[in-house]
Amino acid sequence: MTQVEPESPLDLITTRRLRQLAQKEPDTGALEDRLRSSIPRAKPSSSPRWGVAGLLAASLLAAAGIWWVVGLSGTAVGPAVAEAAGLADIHYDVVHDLSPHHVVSNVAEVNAELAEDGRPFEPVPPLPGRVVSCCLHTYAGTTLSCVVLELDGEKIIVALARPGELILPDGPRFEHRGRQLKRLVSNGITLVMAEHAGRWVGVMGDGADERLLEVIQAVIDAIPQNGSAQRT
Amino acid sequence: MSIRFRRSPGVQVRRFEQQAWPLLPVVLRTAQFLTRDTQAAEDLAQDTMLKALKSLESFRDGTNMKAWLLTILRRTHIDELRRRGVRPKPTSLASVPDPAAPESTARDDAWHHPEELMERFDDEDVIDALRALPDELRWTLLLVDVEQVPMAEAAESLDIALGTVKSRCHRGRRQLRDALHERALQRGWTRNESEGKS
Repeated sequence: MTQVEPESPLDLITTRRLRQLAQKEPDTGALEDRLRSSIPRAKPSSSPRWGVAGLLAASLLAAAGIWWVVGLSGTAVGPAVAEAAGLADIHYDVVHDLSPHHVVSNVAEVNAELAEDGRPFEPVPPLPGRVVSCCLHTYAGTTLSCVVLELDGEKIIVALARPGELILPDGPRFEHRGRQLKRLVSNGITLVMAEHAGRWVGVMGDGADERLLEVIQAVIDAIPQNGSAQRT
Repeated sequence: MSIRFRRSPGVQVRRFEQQAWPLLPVVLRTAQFLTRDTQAAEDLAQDTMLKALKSLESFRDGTNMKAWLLTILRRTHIDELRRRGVRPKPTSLASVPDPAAPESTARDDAWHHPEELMERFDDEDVIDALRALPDELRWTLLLVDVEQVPMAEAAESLDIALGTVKSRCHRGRRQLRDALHERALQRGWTRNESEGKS
C-alpha cells in the first residue's frame, strides 16, 4: 500500500494553482436558456428573503416577461429555425422521461391531452406504430406537439409545429417519394424533417433512417395539403 | 384511458432552483475542464443538471450538493465516453511514480522556484495538464483541489477510501507538475536537471 506523505510545499503550491481554476466564471447564458426550455419554471432564486409568496410572484412575473418577449420576438423575426442540437435535446428529455408527459394509447387521447394544456398546438394526425406518450414541448419560442411512438421496440418521436412557427434550416435537402426532406444528426439522434401544408413536421430517433422515413411519410400523408389533421 | 402526470414539477423544481441551480457555473466549468469542445461541455452540463433534477429525491439534505452534482457529472461523462466507444484513460502502473522513487524526487527538485514557475503557466496550460491525467487522478484533483470538496466527501463521491483520495491527490499533483515541467522545458523557462549537471 502506498504510504501517503504529508503535504509537501510543492503539493501546496500545486493545490493553490489548481484552486485558481475555480475562479473561472463560465458563461452559462446559453446553457440556462436550454435548461429553462426543458425544466418547467426553472430559474435561479434571486433572494431567499422573498419567501414563498415572493418567489411565486417573481416566477409569475418572469413567466409573463418571457411570454411577452417570446411573443414580441415571434412577431418581429418570423418563424424559428429547426436546429439539430435543440431538437435532439427534446428527444433526450422525452425518451429519458425528463419532461412532464401524458401516458396515452392512441391519437385521440393525444389530442385530448394536448388540448387540456390550454396552449395553442398543432393537432396530431393518425400515426403508425404504438402511441406511448405525448407532451407539448417549448422549442425556440414555439410549442411543439410531441408524441412518442414505439415501432418494433424502437422509440421514435414525432413532433409537429403550428403553421408558420418553425421552418427547416438552410442547407441541402434530399428527395424522398417526391417530397423534399432534411436530415440532421446530433448526439447520435437522427432527425428527418419536412415542411408540409405550411407546417413543420419532424421525426427523431436513434435507429435506422428507413424507419424514420417511413414514419414521416405516414405523418405527412395523414395531414391534408390544405389544413391541420382532424382532431380525432 | 390512462391519465398520469408522471412528474409533478412544483416541489422538485423549486428545490432544484434553490439548491442545484446556483451551482450551474461549477458544473459547466468542470465539464469544460473535461472537454475542449464548448458545445460538448454544454451538452454534458445540461445532461447532468437534468439528471440531477430527475433524481433530486435521492439527494440527502445536509450533504454536499456540489459533490453530488459532480458525481452525476462524472458518471454522465463516463456514460458518454462509453456510448462513443472511448475507453476511460486508466492509470498505467508504469506512469505512476512511486512517491519515494528517485526519479520523482529528481523531477520535483527541478522546480527551483516553484511558486514563480507555477504562476507563469496560464489557466489553459494547467487545464491541459489536468486533461492529460488518468481519469481517477484528474477527478480527484478536480474535486479536492479545484472545487475544494472535503476529502471525505470526495471519497464518497468517487466511491473510494479516504486514504486512496489522499494518495491520488499526491500522485495527481506530482504528475501534473511533471507535465507542466515538460512544458516549462519546451519553453525554455527552466533547464533539465540532467542537462544542468552534465
